[in-house]
Amino acid sequence: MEALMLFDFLKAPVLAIQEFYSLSIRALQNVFLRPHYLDDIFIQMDIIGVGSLPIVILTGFFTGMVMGLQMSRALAQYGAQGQIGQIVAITLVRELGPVLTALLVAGRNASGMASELGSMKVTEQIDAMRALGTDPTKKLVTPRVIATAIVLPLLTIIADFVGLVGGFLIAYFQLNIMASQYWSSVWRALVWNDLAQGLLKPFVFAIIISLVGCFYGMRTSGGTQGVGRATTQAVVVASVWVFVVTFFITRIFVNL
Amino acid sequence: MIELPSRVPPDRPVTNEEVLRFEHVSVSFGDVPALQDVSFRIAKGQVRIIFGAAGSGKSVALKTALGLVRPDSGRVYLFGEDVTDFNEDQLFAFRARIGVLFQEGGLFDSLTIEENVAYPIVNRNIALRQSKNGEVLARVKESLTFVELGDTLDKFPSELSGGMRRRVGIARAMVTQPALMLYDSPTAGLDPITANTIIALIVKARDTRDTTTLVVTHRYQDGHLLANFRYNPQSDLIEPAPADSGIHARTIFMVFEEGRLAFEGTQEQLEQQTDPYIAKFKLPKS
Repeated sequence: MEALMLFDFLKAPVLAIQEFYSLSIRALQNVFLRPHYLDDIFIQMDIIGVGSLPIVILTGFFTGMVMGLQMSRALAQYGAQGQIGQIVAITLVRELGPVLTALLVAGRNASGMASELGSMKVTEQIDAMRALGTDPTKKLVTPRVIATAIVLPLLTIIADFVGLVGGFLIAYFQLNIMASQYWSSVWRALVWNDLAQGLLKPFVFAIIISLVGCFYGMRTSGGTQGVGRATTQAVVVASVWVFVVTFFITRIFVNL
Repeated sequence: MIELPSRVPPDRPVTNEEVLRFEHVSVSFGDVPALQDVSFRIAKGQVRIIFGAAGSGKSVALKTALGLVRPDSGRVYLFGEDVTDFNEDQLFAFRARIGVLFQEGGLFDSLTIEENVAYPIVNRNIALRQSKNGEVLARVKESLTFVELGDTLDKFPSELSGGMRRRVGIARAMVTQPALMLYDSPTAGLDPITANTIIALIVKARDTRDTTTLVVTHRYQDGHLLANFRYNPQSDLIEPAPADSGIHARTIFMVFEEGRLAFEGTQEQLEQQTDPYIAKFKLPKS
């Protein structure tokens, strides 16, 4: 009896994992299969990349400034304020840049994907697409995955750079550190390992965010209420996965 | 040059050629059965009306016919071929021969009416392989003119009324001149006048194009109009069909009750039913 209850309890999550796995495999296989919906990829790159640019720049800039302010206090205790560029660079490029940008894109675009695809699902547009001979995974999911995988690393690079500029403004105007000292400290601090994990993380996050957003959109049921539920679930799950995955990638890179 | 739709006389005979067959089909969603041991056969040229209350499984039957829903057991045959175990790619070839009108029209919000109606042609590359884009546009215009919406090419679905969206849905379903037309609750949620306009269009499509027709509905009036009226090309209106027209004889009614096929027969046989559930779909006595 208890075993039966446990089976019923586990059935839904196991089925969801199976569906997610199946969707992910099909979406990633389609990257190498024709037809490629290039128009849809460019449209999604515009929506995700250009659309997220202002918020990514703002967040990156203020994060860099806050990092500068916080670290200046700590470094002042050791008389090491000159190392501010190093601290800001390492923290931003390794962790904060990729994670914050991914969270912003998760909040903005995973929700967008879930609500758009969810609305299409409940209004039978996905069924119509299948009936008219189009594979919805190929037409809707794969372009979103490709677009996110291209633009999220680019957005992260921009966020990192703008954050470094924010840190520089604090260092220059508040801590009276020379520009050359700040930027050379930044340059010296970063090694290939930092750049590799700083670019690998957004790439992996992009695949997770887009797949989670599309997955919840494609399995939406229950009318407009279901669309709202799918949107919330997509943002929450994508955000949690960003934190989980960043831990594992960091774990690998710190041992290298 | 694209072939124009073949005009067929409304009294064309029903052939023995099979278009769709269900053999003991059962479908369930989780623990909820949607179809239970359903069997029927539709021959070329037939008109099938599927009646049933909400949740009786009539829309699921239609989606199962298209391969959008997979049966748990039983077999589905399309155009004489067992498609039950076909994958999506294999099914696309069969779906190309079927036109579908979904309950809400199923139009793509982000595309214009022209792009919506052109979608099946462009997507399947049927016309593009042989012709120029101008000919695709001609087909789209012809299909939209058929549903009397020739001037809506640049509009978006959100700019149209519910009835107009259904008409565009019919135009999109017909644009590839399919052999089988499926209509999922074409009149649901429409006022009686608009609902009759939609049914008149279905009658017109049935009588002017060589299609087998399956209509899912809960309104007995829809079935009555389809079984007893025909399209008059001279007046461009529908009119009562003469007794010898053959329309009445080739229109078969089915009633679904809680996923089961509770009735299958002609309108006369339906009128004789005494079961309270089936009797709901009879012509009310005045």
